[in-house]
Amino acid sequence: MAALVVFGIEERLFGVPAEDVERVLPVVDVMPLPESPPVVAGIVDYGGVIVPAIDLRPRFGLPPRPLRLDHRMLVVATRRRLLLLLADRVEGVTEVAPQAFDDMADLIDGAALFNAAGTSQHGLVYVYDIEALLSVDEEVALDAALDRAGVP
Amino acid sequence: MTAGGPGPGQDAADLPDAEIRRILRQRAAALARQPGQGGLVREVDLIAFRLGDQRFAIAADTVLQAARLGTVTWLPGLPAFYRGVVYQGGEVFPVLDVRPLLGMAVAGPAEATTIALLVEAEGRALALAADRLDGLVRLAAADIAPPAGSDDGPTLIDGLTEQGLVVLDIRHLIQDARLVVNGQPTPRTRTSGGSSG
Repeated sequence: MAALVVFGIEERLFGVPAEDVERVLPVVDVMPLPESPPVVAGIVDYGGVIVPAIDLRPRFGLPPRPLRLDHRMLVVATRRRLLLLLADRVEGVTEVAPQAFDDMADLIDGAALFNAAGTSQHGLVYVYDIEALLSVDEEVALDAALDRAGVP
Repeated sequence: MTAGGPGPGQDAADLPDAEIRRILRQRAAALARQPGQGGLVREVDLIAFRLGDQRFAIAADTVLQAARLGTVTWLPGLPAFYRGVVYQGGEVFPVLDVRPLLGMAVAGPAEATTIALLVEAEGRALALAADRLDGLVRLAAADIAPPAGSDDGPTLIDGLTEQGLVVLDIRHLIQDARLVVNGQPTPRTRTSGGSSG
């Protein structure tokens, strides 16, 4: 069984492995990061560490929307960096059997959208491997944008 | 309906935009001041080993076993990265010297190698030749600097530490096309009787 933290953006549900989630926090103000990839909403000072905030909305063709006080952010640790994932709400932790996953790589053009889809008690969940959440191009563009902003 | 301050459950629609932004900025400032985020640094457990005078490390969770290397049998047709195959725990593992694969010179006699790290990833398994085991090391992921040129796609190493430890990316390494033997995508050979080479 894989434990996922399931979160929602509008009516869509997303999941990331629970072991990769450090914390869930109420959303905070996100500072814009010039020339960053669309999936990067901006940066947040996380206890002295500048952490990119990721907004999956553009991936799914959803228009930008102002943050609300009841929105959440998930702190996830990838091998390269910490990321904040912006979410409208967090549904909770759910166990998803591996069999419930369909490997979407062959089905969907541009599989980078997400890594798998599974059904949980909440419904269909787009499951992300946080190491592959950002494409190589996005990682490079993000690094360059952080460099230009003087972020170590 | 919610009394008190701007709690997480409060309906933001009740508040003017400027007030929401003020609260979000206030939260951001509080988060920035929060100490101890250093504790969130991701650590990785690695098994470190030596080949010649080069130190390598691989993710500990990919290591099935460290074993004294028994008789290594050379098989015709094996690429030069392999020393041969060993029989271990009922299975045959190809023994890989990672250095030629990484373009490193192999110094010293190959016979010095006495240890095999049996590793498994992506459903494949092989044995990595090692001269000496340095044991388990725990490193902050941030201390492993990605290799130069890693923007060009996957490389076989996760990075280097300041101490010169080469951290191998076993998941990519084990899938490297150059490791393919006789058109078999999997280096592991199961001893299912009658079909030995």
